Amino acid sequence: MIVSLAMGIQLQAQKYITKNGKIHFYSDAPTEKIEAFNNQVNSALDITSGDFIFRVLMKSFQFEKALMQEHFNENYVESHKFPNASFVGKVTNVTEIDFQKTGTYQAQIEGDLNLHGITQKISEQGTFEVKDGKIHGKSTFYIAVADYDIKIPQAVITNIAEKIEVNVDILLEPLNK
Amino acid sequence: MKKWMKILVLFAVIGIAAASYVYVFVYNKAHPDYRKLEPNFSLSSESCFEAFKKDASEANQRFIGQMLQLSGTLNQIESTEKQTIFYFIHSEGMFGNEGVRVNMLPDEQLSEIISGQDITIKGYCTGYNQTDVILEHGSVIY
Repeated sequence: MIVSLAMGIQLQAQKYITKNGKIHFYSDAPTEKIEAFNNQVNSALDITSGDFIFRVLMKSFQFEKALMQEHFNENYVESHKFPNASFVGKVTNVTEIDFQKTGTYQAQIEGDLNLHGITQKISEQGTFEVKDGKIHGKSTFYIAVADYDIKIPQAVITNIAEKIEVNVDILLEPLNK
Repeated sequence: MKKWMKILVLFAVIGIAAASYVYVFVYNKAHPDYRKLEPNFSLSSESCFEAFKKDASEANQRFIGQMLQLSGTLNQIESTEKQTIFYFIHSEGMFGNEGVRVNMLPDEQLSEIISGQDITIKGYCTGYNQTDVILEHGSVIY
């Protein structure tokens, strides 16, 4: 799908991309709140087919505390083994969205989220705000760390939430080819 | 003061000192000063990009989590609200230009750097996202 989307992007002008997408995650556990930011998320959307992809480098997540960043990379997501996370899927209601008309539209997104070497089907809601020829996409959803085989040691089990809130914020611009 | 009380006070002082040390130097330890870190590898930006393009798995093992010193022609400078991004462009693909992207340190003095200039930078490599090799915490080496 990535290859076909890539080929499609090179051939058509109906593709929107960004290399500066933002993903923020937040763990709200009883004894600790942890959050991290990544501001260089690659994303592409084909507004004709609805094909939608993300690619994220795990080591690009920035934490307030250096120790948390170390634990995240070395112990939890093992970013030396699994440096990328990705989403490959579709906006399933793409025909209901008028990308030529200014407005905010609900989007239904489904596909495969790969994280820590594990792929899970996800289905989430989001919004697309169409304005000035650009598409501003936003979504908030939750992922369970256990679904991605991320093991939390018993000693810090109360420091990390079982479900992590993920906030996606992307400003897609037309690919000029 | 009785002997048992002295021992109790001593243990309390040692305990507080140990807890303070862990809180300050372990739990709240500072991020590295990336500007002061010595590069682990020195190569051209094109060699770096080609290494990832040719065999991402091998390049991941070699370069991720390392400080890289890269030399090349700076092709593009992009400023966002929070940071300046340097691009060394070496190819074209699904996201347009491809190459090495360096997210510069926010307090880096970059006003005299212009696109088209030959430059040497260093930064912390976080990997390859199938379009660009990404370096964080970049700084210019003069």
